[in-house]
Amino acid sequence: MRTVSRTRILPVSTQLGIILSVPEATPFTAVLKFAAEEFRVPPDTSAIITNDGIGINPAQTAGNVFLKHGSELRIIPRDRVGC
Amino acid sequence: MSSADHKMPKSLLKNVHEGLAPPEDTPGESVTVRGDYLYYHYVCDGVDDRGWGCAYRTLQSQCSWVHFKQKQTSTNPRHPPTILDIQRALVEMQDKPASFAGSRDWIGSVEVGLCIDYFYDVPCKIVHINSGRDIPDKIPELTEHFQSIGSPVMMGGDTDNSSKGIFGVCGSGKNSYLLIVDPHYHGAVQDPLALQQNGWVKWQHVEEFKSDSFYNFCLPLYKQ
Repeated sequence: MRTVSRTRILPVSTQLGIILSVPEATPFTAVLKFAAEEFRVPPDTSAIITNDGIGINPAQTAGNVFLKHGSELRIIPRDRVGC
Repeated sequence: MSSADHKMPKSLLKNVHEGLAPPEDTPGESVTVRGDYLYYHYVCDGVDDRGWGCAYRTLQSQCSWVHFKQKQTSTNPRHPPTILDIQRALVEMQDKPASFAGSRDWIGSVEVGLCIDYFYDVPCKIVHINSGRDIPDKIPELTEHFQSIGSPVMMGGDTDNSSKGIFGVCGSGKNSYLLIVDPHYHGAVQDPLALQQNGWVKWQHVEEFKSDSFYNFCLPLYKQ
């Protein structure tokens, strides 16, 4: 039984990404933190979306995300607006 | 009363873009939102969100559009969430810590997309551009969105930290306009014509966006 998932995460505007291997049960919030650290961006102001641009609910496991959305994802900066 | 029982504020205006003339130089055909929506804005439900709530308000307008669409096929479509509902949903999704609920913290396109999916089971596409200069590159995609799905779009940036509702597109390339429905209005209820005359609903040329700001657009991918 496969217990480790591999995913490729790219910044939105390039093809140079990273590959993460994580246990399938890893909370997806942790995947975001790992990816943000690798790209040296703050996790709080970053988000991971699918290659088609769909936002990903972080309250699920990495395995669930990769099963639903595939293993190629994108990291983007979050906009934050209020005034 | 549960959040789901919350009714929409009675005084909200509907479809405030209707009747707005096309841009002055009319660079081409315009395509606008398809279907009904309510215009949510600062303080419209009694919550004083001036200075922090604009993205929540654009999200509520988008939710009202989905509500009206779902009303065509469902007897009990969900009313648009309150600001507190939105915050609690983001906490439940583990996108925000527990302290976020009841705060005046800002949100953006990503949170807006997560919430539309959470409340209505409608996935949202996030389109990112590095600079306002790149908006012309996304005009074809935005045009196609309004032609096919027609849901209102939320736009946010970083140095441009005001939420904008995008309710239409006109033109192509660098001679294009976006139809802005601005959630920052507060005050006595006006009619749509007054909102348009006072610039709260307007066509904005793509060159008027900030070149030093990145932008994200949130496009609800509603399917009948």
